[in-house]
Amino acid sequence: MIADLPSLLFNALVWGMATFLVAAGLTMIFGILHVLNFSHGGFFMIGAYVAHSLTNWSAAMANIWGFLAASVLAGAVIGLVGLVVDRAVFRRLAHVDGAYVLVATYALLLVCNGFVKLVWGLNVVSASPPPELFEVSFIGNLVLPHYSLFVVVAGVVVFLALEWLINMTSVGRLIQAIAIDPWMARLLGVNVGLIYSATVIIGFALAGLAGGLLVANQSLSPDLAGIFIIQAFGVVIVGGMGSIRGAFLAAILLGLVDSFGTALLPQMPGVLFFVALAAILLVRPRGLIASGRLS
Amino acid sequence: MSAASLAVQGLFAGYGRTPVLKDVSLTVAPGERHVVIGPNGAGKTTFFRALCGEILPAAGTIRFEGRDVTRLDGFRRVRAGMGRSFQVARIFTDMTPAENVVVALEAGEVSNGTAGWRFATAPRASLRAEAEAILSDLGLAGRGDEPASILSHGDKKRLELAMMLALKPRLLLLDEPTAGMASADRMAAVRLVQRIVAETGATLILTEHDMDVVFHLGTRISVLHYGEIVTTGTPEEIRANSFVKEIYLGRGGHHA
Amino acid sequence: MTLSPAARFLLVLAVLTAAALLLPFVANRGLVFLAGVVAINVVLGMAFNLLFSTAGLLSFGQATFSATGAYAVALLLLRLPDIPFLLALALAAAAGALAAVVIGFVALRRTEGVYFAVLTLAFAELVHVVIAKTSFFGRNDGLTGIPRPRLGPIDLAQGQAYYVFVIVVTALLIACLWWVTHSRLGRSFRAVRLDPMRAAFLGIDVRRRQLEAFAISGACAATAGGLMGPLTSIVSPDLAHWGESTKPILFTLLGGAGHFWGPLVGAVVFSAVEYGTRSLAGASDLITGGLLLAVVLAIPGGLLGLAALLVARLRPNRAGNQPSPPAIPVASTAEGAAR
Repeated sequence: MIADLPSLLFNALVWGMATFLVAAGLTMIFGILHVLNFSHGGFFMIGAYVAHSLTNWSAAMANIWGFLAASVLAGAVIGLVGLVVDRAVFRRLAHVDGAYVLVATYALLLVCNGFVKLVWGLNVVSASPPPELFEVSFIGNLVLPHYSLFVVVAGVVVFLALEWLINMTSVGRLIQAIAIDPWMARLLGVNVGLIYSATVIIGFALAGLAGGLLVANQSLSPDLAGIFIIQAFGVVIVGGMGSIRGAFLAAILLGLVDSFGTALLPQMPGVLFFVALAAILLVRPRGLIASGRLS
Repeated sequence: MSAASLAVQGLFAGYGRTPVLKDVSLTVAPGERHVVIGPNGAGKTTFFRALCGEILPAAGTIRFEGRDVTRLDGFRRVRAGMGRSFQVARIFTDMTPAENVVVALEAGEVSNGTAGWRFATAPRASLRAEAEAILSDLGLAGRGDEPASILSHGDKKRLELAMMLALKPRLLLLDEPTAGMASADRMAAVRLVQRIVAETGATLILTEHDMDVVFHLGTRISVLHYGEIVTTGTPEEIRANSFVKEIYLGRGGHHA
Repeated sequence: MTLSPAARFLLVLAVLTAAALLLPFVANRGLVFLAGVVAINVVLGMAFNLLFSTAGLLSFGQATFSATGAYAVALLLLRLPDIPFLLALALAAAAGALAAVVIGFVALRRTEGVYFAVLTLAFAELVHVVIAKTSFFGRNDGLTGIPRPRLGPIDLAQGQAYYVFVIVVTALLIACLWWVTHSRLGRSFRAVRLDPMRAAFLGIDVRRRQLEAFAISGACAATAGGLMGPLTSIVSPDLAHWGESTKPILFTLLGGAGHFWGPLVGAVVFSAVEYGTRSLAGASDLITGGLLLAVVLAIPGGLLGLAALLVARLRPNRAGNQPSPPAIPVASTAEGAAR
């Protein structure tokens, strides 16, 4: 048990950063639109399939640059889809009861599932990482697959990029202002509708990017959306809805719970995640970072 | 001690770590009509919420008819005999006025254990008759099938009063009962409250902005200022109190 | 001629039950089997609607209760073959109510916003994982070979006997749910949904009422779930998957959350669509999702809400002739539909 400690910590970090990649866009959209978007997992999944198809398209893509390009392209495609979803769905839900909004985004998730089944079929597909990330390093007994290291780095890079976007750019400050008080922002002449759309596009693009980056983290199947959305919900809620920093911390925390839980209760993987989620919500119902605003 | 309807002792309450109320003590005798006044931000609403059980005080005690209710949930205080209205009337907008009162009557029966088992889904005929009687007493008769949401502002306030009275409370807590009313309606509301108190013998505690209402209704008045009760007395004493004049008139404005 | 609400309800229920019982005379075995599944789904939808439209709680964990009932009946029939079937169903109902009380006790501390939905979802997934990983529950394979039991002298394995039994029990459960919705208890549930603060200051114990609604919903869902095992002869962890929890939501919104019969209309229409598109891989998800999205965006009152709207439009100037509703009408408009 103690001998495994470094590898448990490493697994926690990989789980945490993979989930954070999915949760980042989710919490951002919640911070601005107050929509807990079930379909985020669906668009993440479509992003993964798109990236997979792109890398298989030509042999020239079978290296790390092709892999990154495919992920960015998947993000761009899903970001465009986000524009459509914002116009066709989210805008119409602005004055609808929260329960109906949640159900509407669940309906969108079903549409995503159906789309994946129709286009890519029901079979489980396994994608392999680009050759540069195929190798494995050892530090003592600790096994470090390069692809897992890549996922951790990608998570941290995306986190830092979002921190920069939110805190250092003018668009980010507008987004923060609207998260705090949309009415006041509108009064001050901010084009709130435009910022809403921008947030949805960024959030969706993050889902697509996460799909591309994590394409080799697990096998691809139409069940992918459901698995990740529940984990991402947990991270978003524990972190404090709408808080990117909170989601980052919560992802690491829940990663530790999942990693140690699987070691302690190998016959019931994943159970402790739900127990921890319920326990944390009861103690801190508004999450770790309770402001509920983008931060 | 047992003679008092309500006895508040050394109450501290607020939101988060900032106390709004500081060491508030107040005794209200049975049958008294006690008005709590004070400028905006003095802590009237916080005081009212603490009395109702909407927020729990940080320190101090609240006794109702000698019973310590400081830690009691709001619904248990209602069951003990405290009735409460809201500044903006809260009613069940999707139900008819009669159904609103029936729900209150049924809640009262469940609270005092006289509800019994009932298979039929329609409310007991006696309850329906009682609801109609209360409604017509308050001038809300014959509103039959329309949802309460379409009632006027004043009618909603009266419906809320009807729901309160259905529970036969011995202490009425009214939060700004005339807020948002035209001045003619205000005096009608004052007369209605006076009549109800005379008929039921209930004790009354209210917060109020309008000085006409305050001096018409109140038999005793407490002045809340920066979360402390600065003075309590009869309307005449309050009128004559120079410090109160300073608080109100010194800052300009009859309505503070 | 005006009928009392109870009489009108019993009339509709009798007609529907008779129609369901006559089905085996006109339809093949496959369709009759499907009708049994739909009948169970109707109860699951109505049990959800009791929470959603009457008590104002959005539960995303209803599969927990139907799966609890299904596993309870399956285990009892497999381990204690001599147990009277009605006793097994009653125990399933008790197990469902118990599960609801335990989960509700924790989840109801946070009823606001999406927290309750996500908490119930988390608990449902917890139950799902536990079922799928415990050998007592047959792990991922579930429990197979569940027999169709005897009911006193009647052998439910014979012919359509079990189908008839399913229809009768679902009719009784629907009657129970109707009674709860329209009784004094249902009125206090609606008071709690419309304004929990006002309800509390009428002396209503809001937490307790919500827990009661949760327990009743759980018991009804568990009883309906208990009917499933002997019908299909297998129970699997899929019954507890969160996708299963969303089906009652779908039936309810599709049919019309503000209407007592909404989940029934939704379940029947949904099953018909699914049956019609069963040969197209992936199409069922697309159609289900598209349908649900269209309902939420275009007709938040659901199919029955749309029908009521059309009827009202077809006879615009006859308000005076309409039969007046009873003195205390029992309209339970869904929050969303009212906006």
